[in-house]
Amino acid sequence: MMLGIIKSITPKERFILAGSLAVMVLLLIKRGELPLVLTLGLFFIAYIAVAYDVVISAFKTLFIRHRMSEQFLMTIATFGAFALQDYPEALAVMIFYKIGDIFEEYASGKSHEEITSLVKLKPSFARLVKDDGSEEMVKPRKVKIGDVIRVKAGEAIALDGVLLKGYAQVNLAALTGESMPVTFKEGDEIPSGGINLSQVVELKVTRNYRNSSIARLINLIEDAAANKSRPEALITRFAVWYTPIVVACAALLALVPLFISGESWADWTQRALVFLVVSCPCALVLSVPLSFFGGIGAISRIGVMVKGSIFIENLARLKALCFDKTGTITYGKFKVTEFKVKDDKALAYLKALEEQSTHPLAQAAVSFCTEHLKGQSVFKANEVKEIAGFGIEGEIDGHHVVACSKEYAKNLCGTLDLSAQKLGTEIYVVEDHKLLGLFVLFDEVREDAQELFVKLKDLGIATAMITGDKKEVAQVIARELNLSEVYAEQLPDDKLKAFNEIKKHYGLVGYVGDGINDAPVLAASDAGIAMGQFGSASAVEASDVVIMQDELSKIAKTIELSRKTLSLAMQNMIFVILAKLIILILGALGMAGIWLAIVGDVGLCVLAVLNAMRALTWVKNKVDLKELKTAVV
Amino acid sequence: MRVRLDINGLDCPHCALKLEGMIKEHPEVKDASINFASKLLLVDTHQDVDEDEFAEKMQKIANDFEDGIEVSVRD
Repeated sequence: MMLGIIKSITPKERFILAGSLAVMVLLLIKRGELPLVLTLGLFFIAYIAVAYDVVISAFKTLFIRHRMSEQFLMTIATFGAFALQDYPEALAVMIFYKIGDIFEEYASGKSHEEITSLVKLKPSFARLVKDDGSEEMVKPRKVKIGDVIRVKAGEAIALDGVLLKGYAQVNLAALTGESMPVTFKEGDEIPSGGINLSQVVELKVTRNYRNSSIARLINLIEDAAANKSRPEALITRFAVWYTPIVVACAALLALVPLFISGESWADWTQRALVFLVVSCPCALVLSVPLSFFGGIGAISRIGVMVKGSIFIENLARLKALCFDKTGTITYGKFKVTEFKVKDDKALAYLKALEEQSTHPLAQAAVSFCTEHLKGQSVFKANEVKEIAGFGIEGEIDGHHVVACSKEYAKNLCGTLDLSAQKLGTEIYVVEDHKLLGLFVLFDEVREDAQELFVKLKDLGIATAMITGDKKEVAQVIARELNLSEVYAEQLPDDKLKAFNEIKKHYGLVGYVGDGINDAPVLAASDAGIAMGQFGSASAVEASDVVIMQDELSKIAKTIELSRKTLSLAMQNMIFVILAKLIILILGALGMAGIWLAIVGDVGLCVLAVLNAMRALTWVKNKVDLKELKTAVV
Repeated sequence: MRVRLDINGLDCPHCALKLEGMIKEHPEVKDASINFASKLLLVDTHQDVDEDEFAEKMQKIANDFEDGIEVSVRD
């Protein structure tokens, strides 16, 4: 790391810094021993070498733009030290100011590089295939929709496109956090940002670079900085007032001897200089946003996008989390969990009837029957009609066949000699008032739901489910998963009301949905979390947090990382403010010299920024380009 | 309209705050934010603008603020 910083500056700068540092040390240990001419000579050579650009820029800004820059404040501080004949101090102010600057520059560059694996994957070129089959390397934004691009093994896919032929193995870890390669076949759309693990493939571009998956994602993360969290907003306001107030105090301190006779000018000037040296709020202004930025980057590596540091803060302080049921807690796909038939005809009949319907239940029933029948005894249903709210009826093979609810079947048959054991939606198959069979369909709970709710409980977050589904079904799921509250049989309009009720009770409440029909609740929540396979624009638009792959358990991980991020940011904020205050107070009392001020200022900046950069190491980068390239066969 | 610009050569994070304040005063600008760490200047404008022309306007504001700042349209 030190090496990285040293490498980030030019040899000339290195020479000047090292040289002036040596002069500073020499003047410090031989203070008063060297002849004045030699002291002054060494001082001026070193000072001019290290400070000329700062001083020039300071006065330029003052005279041309009528503004006191921090360079100007530092220049004044060195002049003051010089006037007090504190030559090594004057040099030190300038040298450490520059070192602090270099460090800030390095830290910000480094964090930008490391913030996301995405930035590394940001494609710098695309191989545009021309009509004659030859290729040309162009910038991704020059490629138009409909163009064909070629992607070699190990290269990142620059633009979203449809695979023209064959198969492609693609690593989508940058987008989803999942490093298992995904196989695409001819005609599939491959999102940009993936890395091609197979042989050379050709894609027909479907979206221009600006709207491609990878560009949208990078923008999402980088724009996130604009949605400032409260600590960041606080810092911003603090920074605006901090410098003028500290500088004004410095001026007042310098003037004290004018009003109180007997006080020494040198002593009070020194106190004023301490104020000038710590007048820049840089450590604060960099370290707090950097903490959040690093947190957002760490979270992005598990395949979760957070659209602003304000949402990191909200997630960290979340009191309760509400869930939609269908498609969120459950897969949103019905499956037959139980069936009892007196005659295999029941399967064939059900299939024939439900084939005519588009209801999700019907589709599940059809695929189940098809699997069980294995092609035998196929019927065709005629005059198929829906019986609204009860089922479907039709004429098959000369019989009147109905697939319906329990109540309707009771009406047709009188008594029912089959009953369901399992919970779910029941379908009865009746042939001419004779019960043939019964099917129970259930929307299965996601595999990792249990894990999530256990973790949320550990995190002390209350959970609630808001669903339009039947009470019985909702309650079974709620009991199984140990949910705190259930709101069942909620119409879409009621969902928001139910949510607001929960919010009144708990305060900060998040909502997890699929972003399709619960946009109002997502928008009303303090942290709207959308489950969405990547690419669903509606989910990305409506929510504050996007889980790129439908993995519920990532929510708990996201909350944990958010808490870590927030505490890191608060740590930095409190640490820097306290340290600056202590230096200022000691300085005003005449108990802190320029040395303490310099160490306090630059040292603080380095410490706070280093601390903030820890966030970058929380989640190990899953995409290692080098590793991937060697893995390609 | 959202415009994303690269901004290089900024001295320090709190200078970025000051420049951000100056950019916000531009009549075409609805909101602006500078991310010092990612060297990104993010501007929301009232009306749709030509990005290259807009970048030049932002460059002008930067020139009035400090030497050596470069603003360009982000790739």
